[in-house]
Amino acid sequence: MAAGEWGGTLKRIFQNGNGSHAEQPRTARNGRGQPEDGAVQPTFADNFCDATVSRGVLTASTGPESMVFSRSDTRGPADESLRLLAHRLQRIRERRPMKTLVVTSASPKEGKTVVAVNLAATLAANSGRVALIDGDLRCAYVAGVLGVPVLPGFAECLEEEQSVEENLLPVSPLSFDLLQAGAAKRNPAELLQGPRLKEVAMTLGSKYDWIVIDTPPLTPFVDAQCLAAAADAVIVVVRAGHTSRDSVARTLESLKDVYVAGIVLNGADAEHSPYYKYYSQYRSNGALAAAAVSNGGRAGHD
Amino acid sequence: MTTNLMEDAPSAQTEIFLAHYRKVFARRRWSFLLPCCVIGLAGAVAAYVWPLKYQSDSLILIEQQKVPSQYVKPNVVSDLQSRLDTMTQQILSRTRLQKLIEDFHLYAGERNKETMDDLVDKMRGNIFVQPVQIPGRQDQLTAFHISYISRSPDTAQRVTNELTSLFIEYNLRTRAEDSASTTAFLRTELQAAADELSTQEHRLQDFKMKNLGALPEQFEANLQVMASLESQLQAVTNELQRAEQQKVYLISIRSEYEAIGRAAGGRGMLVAGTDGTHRSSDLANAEATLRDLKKRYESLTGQYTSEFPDVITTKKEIAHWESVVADLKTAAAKSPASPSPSPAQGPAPDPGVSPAIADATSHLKAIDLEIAAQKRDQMMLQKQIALMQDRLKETPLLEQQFAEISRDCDNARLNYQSLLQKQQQSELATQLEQRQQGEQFRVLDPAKRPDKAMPPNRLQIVLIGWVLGVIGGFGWVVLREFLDSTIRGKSDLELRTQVPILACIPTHLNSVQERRRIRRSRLELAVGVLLVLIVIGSGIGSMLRA
Ligand SMILES: Nc1ncnc2c1ncn2[C@@H]1O[C@H](COP(=O)(O)OP(=O)(O)O)[C@@H](O)[C@H]1O
Ligand SMILES: [Mg+2]
Repeated sequence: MAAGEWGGTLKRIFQNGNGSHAEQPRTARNGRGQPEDGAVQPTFADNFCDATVSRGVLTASTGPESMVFSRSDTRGPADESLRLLAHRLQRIRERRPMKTLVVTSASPKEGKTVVAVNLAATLAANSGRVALIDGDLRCAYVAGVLGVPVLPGFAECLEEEQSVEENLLPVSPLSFDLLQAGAAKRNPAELLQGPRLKEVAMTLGSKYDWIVIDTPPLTPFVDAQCLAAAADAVIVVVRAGHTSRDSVARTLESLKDVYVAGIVLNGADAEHSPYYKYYSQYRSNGALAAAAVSNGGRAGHD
Repeated sequence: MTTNLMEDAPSAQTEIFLAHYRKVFARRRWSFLLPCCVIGLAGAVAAYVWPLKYQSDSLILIEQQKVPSQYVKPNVVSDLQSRLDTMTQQILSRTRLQKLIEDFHLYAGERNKETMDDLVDKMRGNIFVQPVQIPGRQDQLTAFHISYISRSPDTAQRVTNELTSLFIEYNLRTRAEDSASTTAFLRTELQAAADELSTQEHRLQDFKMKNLGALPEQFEANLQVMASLESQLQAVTNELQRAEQQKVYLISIRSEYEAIGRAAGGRGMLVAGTDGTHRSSDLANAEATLRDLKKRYESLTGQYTSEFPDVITTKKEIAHWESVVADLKTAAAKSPASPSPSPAQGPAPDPGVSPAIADATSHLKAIDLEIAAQKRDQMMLQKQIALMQDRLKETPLLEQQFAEISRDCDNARLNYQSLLQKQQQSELATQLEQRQQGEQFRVLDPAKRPDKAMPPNRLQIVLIGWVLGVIGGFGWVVLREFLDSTIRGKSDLELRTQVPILACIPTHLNSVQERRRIRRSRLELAVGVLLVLIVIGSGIGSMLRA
């Protein structure tokens, strides 16, 4: 083994298991998930130049190598929890009208982007027209999570260079439309405080049932506050074992002017309760039943 | 299924509890493993560099003297414990220990770093002299241990043996010396006592010689002598009285005879003359006697009844003497006495006198002689009685002095005798000690070469390191968990906010992350096992170090 390879390997070992932002698109691009080869860090420009958009539809990688776990055909604990989240939001909407959801949190790396993408996918699977907007103009990552090429989007719309419609591309097989962050030429905070945000929101609001907006962290940027003010409700992401108790309180305090629909606890391992046992039994029973069906005939003869 | 689930709620409770700790432990595995390994490794290193110490021990029996102590009382009877203490002090003296240190090349490493005084102190700290206590008989000391602690088992054994022989030798020598010096002391004391005794005896002798006869011990005898002298005096007095009565009687008889002779012849002038003088003196005598008797009678009747024999005899005598006085008075009236006494030449027998008169005269003469003799006797007896009385009077005075002197003498004698006895005993005991038959120290267990180091040995230190490591690991985990202020789970979050929790999204790992996680956990496992193996291996290595 060459020294360089060693360095790469060690680096990956000691990197957080959650992976780096820059690496994800590459993994998605070659589609085979071979990060061992990735000693070269892919850049934004790389992705942009390689991007291929076939007939205006983005194809997301939703395989086991992706962080998109909320598909209609999966049945893990993570997508069950997202289904529950979607259900609760529907119930809230029965009581109070809301369409635009801002997903935010106190600090980076709490899972805003992952929750936003998966929430959008789940809502899309349930009730038709859903738009996902990558509002994180500073460190866009929605494209990375979905494994789609990085394209111009929200920033360009806000700068009045391009229209919203031409950048809203459907994502297959998740059946929601995506407005990527794009590349802002001005300060994102300025853009978000400008009048264009309202127009964009109006345009989208007329077309979609749900609009999910991913945001940068609440501190140190004002972006999330601006987006939250423009939206109908805010979902606060709290990462278990990561977010401190004080910061939860501070976040909720800073969001007291807007409507907080609720908290999503991310990365929480299932709490142990008698139902957990039941749940796992239920799952294994399902597996057993499937196995019994597949070789039921032979079992009957013995 | 569901019913079954509801039934065992308590076990489900403990399951939740255990699962919680399992989760904490899984999360904090490195917080546990790292301090655990570090402390374990430190324990192993400590065990490796720990200076092992060996203790060698000998048991010494205190053998009682071989001749029973009722025959020969030991000379050295001080409390064994205190004797052992002084012995220890003596043997652990600086000079002795210094010699031991030099002879056995002890503390070779510290020799040039520390002063000899420090080394001696160090050695003293490594020597233990401990009496063996018999439970229930705390005061009796029958054996004691001597032990020495050293880095090398051989040195420990050799030094212990040396110390043991030092103790035995010291005991033997000091006992003999002590015993001999006791005897010598007693000998000089005895000499002094003998001198004192002879002085006192001389004093007593002199006193006795000086006060011979008046000594209190002769008091009784003197009293008896006095009584016998008095009775003799009484007898002599009685005899004298009787003789005088007889004389009076004879005189009266002779004068009667003379009267008869004058009446018959005419030659009784002389007789009459003499008789007349005689008669007047006789009358006086008789009257005096009568007075005496009357006086006596009065005193007697004052004391006794008339039937008392003395009273009766006195009465008779009074009667007799009254008749005699009356006779004499009548006789005097008949021949009126010439006031001028005739120049009588004594009652020389007159050839012309009748034989009766001569007879009476000779009788008178004899009586006179007798009276003289009796008077002499009386005088002598009275003198003796006076002497005796003097002596008896002196006796109480002398008695005090005598008691003093004889007491001194007795004391001196007692002292001498007891010293003599002691000296003889001591002599015997000294001989016993010198023949090594007295109380002795005997080695019951000679010092062995210790084959095991003293605790804590390396094994114990390593084990302690491991135990402390586990405790430290747990402590660190608990501390980390305690100081961790992040949100842990749904219930934790629920407690801190009113905002509803819409969903809990479990950790989802994509295939890459999953693979990475597996690889990582394998690596962690390998590193963990390696660390544990290093700790255990180093621990075993330390234990096996000779
Ligand atoms: N539920 C989850 N399970 C596993 N990994 C997660 C989960 N949520 C987020 N992550 C990981 O955490 C990292 C940060 O997530 P991201 O959504 O980019 O956070 P944010 O947008 O708040 O900065 C990403 O690498 C993502 O893969
Ligand atoms: Mg993000």
